[in-house]
Amino acid sequence: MAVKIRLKRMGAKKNPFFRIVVADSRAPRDGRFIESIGYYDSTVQPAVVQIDEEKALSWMSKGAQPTDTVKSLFSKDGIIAKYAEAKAKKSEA
Amino acid sequence: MFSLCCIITHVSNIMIFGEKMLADIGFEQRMRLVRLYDIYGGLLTDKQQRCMEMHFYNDLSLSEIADEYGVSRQAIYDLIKRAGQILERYENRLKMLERDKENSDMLLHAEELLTDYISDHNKTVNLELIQTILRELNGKGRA
Repeated sequence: MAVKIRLKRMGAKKNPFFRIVVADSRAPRDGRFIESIGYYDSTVQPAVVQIDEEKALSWMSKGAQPTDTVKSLFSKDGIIAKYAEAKAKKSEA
Repeated sequence: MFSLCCIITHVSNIMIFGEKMLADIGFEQRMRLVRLYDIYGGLLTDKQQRCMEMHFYNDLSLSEIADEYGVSRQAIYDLIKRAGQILERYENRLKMLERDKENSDMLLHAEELLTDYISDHNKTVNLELIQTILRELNGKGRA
């Protein structure tokens, strides 16, 4: 069962606000998700991104796949780099 | 050996930077389409609306949407691209997003002015200044 890290839109019309959620890849549209690990708020200027780094890394190490959109948020926060680093260390040991 | 290491880190930094830039452009464009869809989405067909919501609100990939409908990824790509072009065309003519942005910038500016004024003048408020800004906003609305 594949697990994905996606954005999920919340917020009122014309005020886009996205949660970053961990969800089963086959439970998409009704919006069920396993855990919320952060958000992207574009209702304020400039947009605010908040990510629970620890959770993000732990989910990725369990094989959860971030979507390209989420990946671009993660790489801005350096989470992708940290994940690659942790992975490299693991394979060395 | 040491200098070789330096070169390698240097090169990989550039590559990460390049990736970041690309991703940023994609992300900004995505947010723009979300906003355009909020405004003009109701003018698209039902199928276009469902696909746009799956892609932009729920972050499903093109192939995931294609699986849902039992069509090719290319078909969904074309549909979403076309829907995006339709939204841009409405914006070109109606400029509702542009005006929303201008209005919210002005309101933000007004709020800042008011906040500064209140903290500088022991909580008395210059109502005329607020009136000027609101007049400007209303004028824009009618134009």
